Order: sequence, then C-alpha cells, then structure tokens
Amino acid sequence: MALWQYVARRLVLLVPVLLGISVITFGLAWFATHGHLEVQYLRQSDRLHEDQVQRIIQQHGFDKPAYVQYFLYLKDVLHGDLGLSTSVNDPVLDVIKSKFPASVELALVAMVFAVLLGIPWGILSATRRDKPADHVTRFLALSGVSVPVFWLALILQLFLSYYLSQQGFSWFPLFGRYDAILAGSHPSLLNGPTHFLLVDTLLAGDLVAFGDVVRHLVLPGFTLGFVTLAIITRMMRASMLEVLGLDYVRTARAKGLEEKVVVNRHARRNALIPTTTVIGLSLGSLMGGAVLTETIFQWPGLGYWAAKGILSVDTAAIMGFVGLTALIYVLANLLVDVIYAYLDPRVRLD
Amino acid sequence: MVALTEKEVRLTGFRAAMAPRLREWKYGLYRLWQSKLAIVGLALVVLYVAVALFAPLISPSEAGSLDDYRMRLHFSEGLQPPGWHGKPFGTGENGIDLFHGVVWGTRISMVMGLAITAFGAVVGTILGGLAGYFGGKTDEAIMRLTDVFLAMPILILAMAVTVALGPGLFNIGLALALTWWPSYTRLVRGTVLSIRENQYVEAARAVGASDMRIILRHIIPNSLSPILVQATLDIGSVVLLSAALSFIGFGPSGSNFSEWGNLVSRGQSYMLGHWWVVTIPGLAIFGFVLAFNLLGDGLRDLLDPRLRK
Repeated sequence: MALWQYVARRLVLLVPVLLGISVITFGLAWFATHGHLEVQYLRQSDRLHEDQVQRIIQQHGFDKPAYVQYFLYLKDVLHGDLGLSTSVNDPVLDVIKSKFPASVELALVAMVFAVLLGIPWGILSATRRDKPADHVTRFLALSGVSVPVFWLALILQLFLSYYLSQQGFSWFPLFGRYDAILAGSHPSLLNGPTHFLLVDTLLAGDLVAFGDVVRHLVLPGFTLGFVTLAIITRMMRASMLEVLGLDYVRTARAKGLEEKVVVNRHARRNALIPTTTVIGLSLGSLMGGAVLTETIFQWPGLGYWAAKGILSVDTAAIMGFVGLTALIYVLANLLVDVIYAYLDPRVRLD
Repeated sequence: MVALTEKEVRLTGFRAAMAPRLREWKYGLYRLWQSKLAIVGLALVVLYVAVALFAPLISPSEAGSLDDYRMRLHFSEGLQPPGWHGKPFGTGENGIDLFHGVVWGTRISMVMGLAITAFGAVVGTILGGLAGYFGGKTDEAIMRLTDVFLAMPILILAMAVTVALGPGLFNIGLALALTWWPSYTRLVRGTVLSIRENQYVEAARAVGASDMRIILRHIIPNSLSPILVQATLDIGSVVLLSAALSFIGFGPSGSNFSEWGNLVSRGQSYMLGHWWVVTIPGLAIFGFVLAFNLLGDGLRDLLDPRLRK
C-alpha cells in the first residue's frame, strides 16, 4: 500500500472516532446541565426578553428530545458554531482562535526544551549504563513522571520567583505572558502580526520586550516540558540500549570504528525512531498539563480558559476544549504513524 | 516400601507441579533484592501502606472532632512553620495541622489508588481478553469503543466526566474509574493475541479444552505479568490525576479536608512567605507516585524474561 493510500484510509477511520467523541462530549454536557443545554446560552445574561429566550430555544431545538438535539449540535459544529462560552461571553470558536497562539507558543517552548535535553540525556544514560551519570539521569527522569505538575508549578513560583526576588533577584515573574506596564510602551507585545510573542517582538526588533517574554516563558515552559523531558529521556535510553545490543552495532565496533562514530552515526539514528513516536504521543500529556500549568501561571491560553470554564460550568467551553484536544491528539497520532512508516521501512502499512 | 495415603500422593503431585513456580518466585525475589531502586520503591510503598493502615495511631483525632478526615480549626493560631512544637509539618490556614492532613490523606490516596486501578484493570482485562480471544466482530466492537476513549488525554477526559458528575471525591474516583479501563483493554488484547498463537494453546484446544478453560488456565496466567506491572505503575498515576482533579477544584468541600490535592490547592492562596503549606503535602504526593513507579519499573525488569541475562 502506498503512503497516501494509508493516510487516506486512516483519515476515513478517524470519522467514527470523532463521531464517538462528539457523542461523549454531548452526553457529558447533557448530564452537566441536567438536560437543559439552553442554559449555556441563557445564563450569559438576565437581560434576555422572554420571547428572545423562546427564539433561542426554537432556533437550536432545545425543546426537542436528546437524540434530535445531538444531531442539531452536530450540524452546528459542522457549521463552525460551537456555542457560546458563557464565562467570557464570546463564541467558542472565536475564543479558541484568539487563545490558540499563546498555548501553542508555550507548548512549543516546552517541547523544544524537552527534546533538546531529553535525547542527549537518554544517550548519555545508555552509553554510561549503571555508572553514576546513568543513575542521576534515571532518577531525574523517574521524578519527572512522578511529580504532580501543579505542585511543580507552585514550587517554582514559590522558590524561583518569590523567594528569589526576596533576595533581590527578580528574574522570573510569578505569572502572566508579559509585563503589563512594559506593554504600554512596547506595542509589539500587544498587536504583533503572528501573536507569537517571541516572533512578534523579534520582528519589531524590540529586544527589551523579547527579554521580557523570555523571562515570562521560563517557569511555565519548564513546568510543562519537564514531564515530556522525562518521557523522552526514558524512551531514548531504552531504545538506545536495545540498539546498542544489535549485531550491526557489534559489526561497526568490530571493524574498528571509534565509539563516538558508532554511537552517533550508527546507533542514534535507529534509536531515534521509537523516540519520535513518544514525542508525538506526549502531546496528549502536554495538553493535559497545559490546563494546570496555564491556570497556575495565569497564562492567557486555552488551558486557563478551560479551567475557568470548568469552575463556572461553562459547558460550551468544556465541550469545545475537549473536542479540540481530541482532534489534535488523533491527528498527532496519525502523523506519528506516518513519520514512523517513513523512518522505518520495515513497518508494513496495513 | 511405605504405602502413601491418597492425600500424600496428591501433595507430592502438587509439590512437583508447583516446583518450577516456586523456583521462579525465589529467582524473582533474588532479582528484586539485586535492584536497589526497586528496593527503595518497595520500602517507600511499605511505609505509605503502614501510614495508611495506622493513621489513627500515628495522628489520633483531636478531642471533639467529629470526622477523622477533617482537621480541627484553630482560628487563633496563625501559620506556623514546621518544627517540634507538636506540629511537625507546620500549620496551615486557620491553624489546621498539616501532619494530620498528610497522614489521613495517605489513607484516602491509598484507597483511591487501589480501588480505581483494580476496577480499571479488571474491566479492561475482561474486555481486552474477550476482544483478543474471540476476535472478529467482538474485537471490532470493543476496540472501536476503546479507540474513542483513548483519543483523548486521560486528564482531560476525566475532567469532562467530573464536570458532568459534579464535584466531590467520590465523583473524582468514579470519573477516573470510567476512564481508566481502555489502556488495559489495549494491553491485554495485545498480550492475548500473542499468547493465543502459542503451541500450548493449540495443544489444549486439540485435546478438547473449552474456551473457558483455555482462557482461565492458559491465557490469563500468562498475561498476568504485564497487567501487574501496569497496575503497579497506575496506582501512582491514579493518585497523581485524582490530586490534580482535586486541585483544579473538583475536590471535597471545606479547606480542612485531609486530601493531598485539596491541601495543595488551599495552600496556594497563602503560600507566598509560607513555603511549607504547599511544599509538604506536594512532597507526600510526589513520594507516593515515585514509590509505585520505582516498584513498577523494578517489577517490569524482573518479570520480562527478555531482560534477563
């Protein structure tokens, strides 16, 4: 089977999964509102007149039985109408569009940090098996998968932001994406073209603002990336150990190649393949972690919005966030499988 | 020659049948002893289990408190740092004793971790076993359902379920139980598929063993070790997630409830300048999860014959 046929088949198979997810999100919202989904429109305002209320109920079919409402909901979703997020009083799709860049920027920073550190650490750990370097790396990696993300965030805030600034080193702010006072005199923080602040400030050539953005990114980026770093390190170590025991590596050593060449040219390339998979799959834990990290650092992204939506039973926001997360997750899974098939020709596409 | 009674004959037969398993167990224990990290994990697990079991002895309830899980409020006492003044972990908001909270919180975490993991493992194993053994339409139906559940990060799915159920510890547990089985279904199905092809299963089928007998006597015993490893790791993960859900705001009501996520969550609002109010309960969670991860990793090395030398 050619690669494009495989991709097409997988995309078709996604349809029932996405339908299943829509059933789950609809069912949960139905439960959460005790069968009165209209509250997500009505709660926004007491100013609505009785006939306006009736019109909303008519328009969205909130007086129909649940299964009919489900199909109406599906129709709305396919038309891009994800409902109204009552916690911010904006359509869900608009909120997602406006908050997406902040979340993606944070997630990318976390991911780059995790990949750049995790791969060399994993290799180090494997090549120095059972030596002190290996023990330290393994312990750190195990801590990374055991630490509660919300607690790590608070500890960093407490010790690296609060207590450090008490000592006169105000390097890392407690929360936010940029300094609000600074933003008054540095417009690139507010209305740049891409809404990725690292890019916007650099495009404007505003190094002061860039530095401010970096300082705000350090703690949340580290918090979010730490779990992924741990997962990548563990995977890289395991697959490196497996590859180093294979015959072709022994052959490479036997013909007298330097250890550096054996590790970097022969072993690493193949050990990277399973690690790529794990990197893609860790997107899931990254998005779960984003809810906690963004909330604690008051990062104006999707996770913070979702957490606020949860506390105010903003069902449309929660349904939208869960649906979006699931969509990103399944697409990432698909991408991982395709990359895997591309990197490892032994994988059969069926 | 002494005639053996029927009982003795059976006993000898039993011993002979069990000998390889005993040898396996002894070898396993020897290997476990060799792995220092796993021993540290085991020791920590034993410590947490002991604290959970003996909570009433370690931190007896103060006179006049109606509920062991609720820390007494002492409004006049402020926030005291940890020290040897009878409050080894210090005090939190309204003078609550954090030591009491952490100790009784251990019991809650232990119960949640064990119960939810056990539920997920049993349901997942049954579904995965059915899918893997029977294949065909059964497999299709079960795995498509599993795919839907696995298409969402578990924290986010559990969050959405908890929104629907409403707050409270029981609902957090219910939400996690409802979302935890799919990973076992996939794991067990894969294991069963590989076991099913083995010759001893074919042999059992050839001598006319029923499906039930093959599943109970051959398939389940041979797929137990990956399930056991996964379950050990999951006890930690379950506690991590339930604490996270409690932290987000789904937790028990009242600032004085002895649950780790709740303690960290309540501590957040006044932690600046009072490092211990979040640091200490969080360390309890961290240690708990680390313990089960260390033990689980050790068990994996031990039970996977491919990793033996």
